[in-house]
Amino acid sequence: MAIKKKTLLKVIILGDSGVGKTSLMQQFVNGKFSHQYKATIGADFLTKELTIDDKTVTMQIWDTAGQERFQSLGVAFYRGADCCVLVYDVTNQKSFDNISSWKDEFLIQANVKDPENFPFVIIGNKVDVDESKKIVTQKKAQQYAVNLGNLPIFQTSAKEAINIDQAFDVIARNALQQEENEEFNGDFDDAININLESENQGCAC
Amino acid sequence: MSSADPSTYPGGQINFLYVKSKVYIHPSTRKQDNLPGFLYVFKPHPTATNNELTLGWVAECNVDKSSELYRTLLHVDSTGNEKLARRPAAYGSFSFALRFMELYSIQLRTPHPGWWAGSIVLNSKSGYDNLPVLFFHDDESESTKKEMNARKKNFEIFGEDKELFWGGSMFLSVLKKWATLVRTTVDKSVYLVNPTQDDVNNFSPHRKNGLSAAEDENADKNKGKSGSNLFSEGVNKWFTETKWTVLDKFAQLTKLTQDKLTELNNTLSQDPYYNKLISHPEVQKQLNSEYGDMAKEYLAHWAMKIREQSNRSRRIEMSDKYRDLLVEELGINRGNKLISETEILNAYEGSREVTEQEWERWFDSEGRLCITVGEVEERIFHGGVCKEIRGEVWLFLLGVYDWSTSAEDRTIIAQTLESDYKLLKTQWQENQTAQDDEYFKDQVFRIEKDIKRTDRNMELYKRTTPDEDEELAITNPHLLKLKDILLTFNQFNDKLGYVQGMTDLLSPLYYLYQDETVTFWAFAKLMDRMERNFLHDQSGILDQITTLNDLVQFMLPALYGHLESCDSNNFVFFFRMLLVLFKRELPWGTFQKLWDILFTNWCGSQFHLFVILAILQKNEWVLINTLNEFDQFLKFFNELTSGYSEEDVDEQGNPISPEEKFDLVDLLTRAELLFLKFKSMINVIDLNTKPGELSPISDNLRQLLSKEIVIKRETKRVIG
Repeated sequence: MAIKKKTLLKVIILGDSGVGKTSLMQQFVNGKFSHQYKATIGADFLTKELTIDDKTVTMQIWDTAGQERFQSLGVAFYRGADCCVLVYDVTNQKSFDNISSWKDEFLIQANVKDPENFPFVIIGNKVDVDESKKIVTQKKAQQYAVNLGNLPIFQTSAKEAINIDQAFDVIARNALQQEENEEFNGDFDDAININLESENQGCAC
Repeated sequence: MSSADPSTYPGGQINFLYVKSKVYIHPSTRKQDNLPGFLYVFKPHPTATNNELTLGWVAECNVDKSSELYRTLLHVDSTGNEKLARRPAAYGSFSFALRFMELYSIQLRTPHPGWWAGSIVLNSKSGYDNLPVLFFHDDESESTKKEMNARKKNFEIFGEDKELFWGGSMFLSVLKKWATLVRTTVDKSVYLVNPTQDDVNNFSPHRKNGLSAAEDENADKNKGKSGSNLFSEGVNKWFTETKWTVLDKFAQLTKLTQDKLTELNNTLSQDPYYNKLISHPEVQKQLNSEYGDMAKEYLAHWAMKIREQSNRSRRIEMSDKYRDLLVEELGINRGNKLISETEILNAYEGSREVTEQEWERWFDSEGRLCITVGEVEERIFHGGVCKEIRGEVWLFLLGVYDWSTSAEDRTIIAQTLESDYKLLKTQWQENQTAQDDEYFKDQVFRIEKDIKRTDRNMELYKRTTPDEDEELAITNPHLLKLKDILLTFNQFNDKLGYVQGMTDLLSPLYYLYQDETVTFWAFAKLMDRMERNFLHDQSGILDQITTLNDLVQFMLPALYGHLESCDSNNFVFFFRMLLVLFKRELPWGTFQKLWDILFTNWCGSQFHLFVILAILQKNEWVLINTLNEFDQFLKFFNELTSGYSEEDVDEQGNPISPEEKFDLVDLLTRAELLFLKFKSMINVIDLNTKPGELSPISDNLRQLLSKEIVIKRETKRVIG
């Protein structure tokens, strides 16, 4: 058994109910789309191995329930996150308006050390729909992302697999950067990373 | 037995008093190395005292099959009569023989379903403790099987000390003829052989005097009271020790080292199901990959499945014995008077659904219940109801109809409910101002979003056209009914409104009645019980998580210690099971049956927490030995039913094979036995709590015994 350091990137997907969080995760990890996804209750995650510039990492993507009141449980799920994805539905103005409150809520629940520099990525999903139904324009969204702190933004379709890999590549790079920054800063509060390392070194405790 | 020299047996023989064949030594973890042999007791000469009797073991392969000795060993084993023969060779693989006076203690390790055969560990006074562990392969021993059958016929399936009867316990009871055995209170599996007063004091510090304590053990059988004292002593011991010491011990076990993995694999390799599974390509794939989190999670599921399978086959083979094994596994002390034998025997009988005929017999000609409500609840709790009557039964269980009503009363009630519903519905449907309200519009939006993704695989809720656009208006008439019901509920309970998860509770009700009014009232009643799950501040669900935390700490302290040391004792991984009562975990027919049982409140209105406790108990070994991080636990519980797919239902929505997917019968049996154990532990603690003294039992634990449903209402309307 090869002993090598394995990097785990923890990514949290947030956004209003029905914007397509589960679909985005499923499309990225399993390359499939279904009409049968149910409203997510509680939280679940999927993992995917990725290679970023010759470095193999495991991305752990957390899918959560979209109804606001369930976020108080987030504290259990967000701990140790390396990147947060904020999703809205391009056909739903309200889901777009809520992006900044999802961001704030995350920063509170995750107890992030350096909120100013924590990586967020915005995704506007369901771009496969008729132009007539698109309410949030790309221009408006891009301006908004700049105002929120120059956040990367992608227009995707989980249904048609449009822009999914591109978005997750940026998510992964941001997460990796965050992970390395934390390590550099000697931030070993993250229980998940500590355990991973000690196991890989075959710690005999 | 006449002899020329009364101090020896003729021809230098010895007298075999006891022989048991098929007692094995397991020199390695490999099955093929297991060595069968004979365990024996002989009297070396006619005048020998009990202290001079010899206990020994000889391997089968070291006894010549054509010898008189071999025939004697078989004879004594099968008849139980003593017989003379030559002394077995003291040499050979693992053979040993020692006199009773040299024996210090015997430890009994009871058989464990699906994992290992029962065994005994002998310790000698000389400290020469290389005596091999002896495994009783009861299923191979003709004499043990014969004895078991005889006991079964006489309903004496329990051996000494009210514990399960097996080869080892049988050996112990034979041994008591010649030696004084004192069970230690420090470790109840250990018996001291002819102990001194000091030994007794050391190992049983609570005993006032030594040797007479041996008599106490026997006296217990006749005196229920002292039995329950011993039991309460155990409870108190547990109570003072667990919280502190167990947590320490288990902190050491939290990391799964390479050694632990090897150990795990060795344990598994003794299981017959292991070999079947290991050849599976998926298992091979996992084993060949480097050990990662994935492999570990897989291992956990794998170990669980092995156990599941072996448990299932065991249950099919011998349902009574299976229940007994469960009683033992759960550490339920039989005969302690706090749990009656009837209660144990009644514990969940899954195969006996209440039939239509049985249900009808419970009502007189006027449609009035003619047995007691308690009888109804108990009966439904132990088996659920058949699907033909489920709808009607739920109306009673949920409280739409009172049990005291006649058929005529119910007709009148139904009419009232009909008009009440219409009125409620009109209040929003024919009120444009109400519909223009922002809150209302938000409700509509949320409801539509969720009913479009609830149980769409069911025939009733399917898309009207296969390529129906998700984003367009709903066309399926049944979904439209669900929407109206939820909007009317928003009118009815305007502080709570619609919250995610409610469609999962509503859809099965509508499926049963397919009538808007009846479904609405059944839903409204169900929501009395469920409202606390949906409160804006999440306090109701957190209450349950807190209770679960207390309950696990109380009932499964070792597991709790493990979870705590892994920083995973917040139990949020049960959120989904709690929120919609296992609706997402179980296939259609199976959760309906579980709901039959939960709605009776027979074992308290919060029996669902015992079902979760049973899940934890059943998987305790796997959880402690293979998982040590929050995300692993979450994955484990989220995927408990990963084998089950939504497509596993027939046209009527019945699960094709729920037993194969989620062993509900097994879980419910465990849950009920755990409930009985819990109840008796509370009783013991209460009996030992002096008046005025603060009870160590928290109020939320005590509330688990109550049959009253816990109602907690939303206090103000909040969006989101």
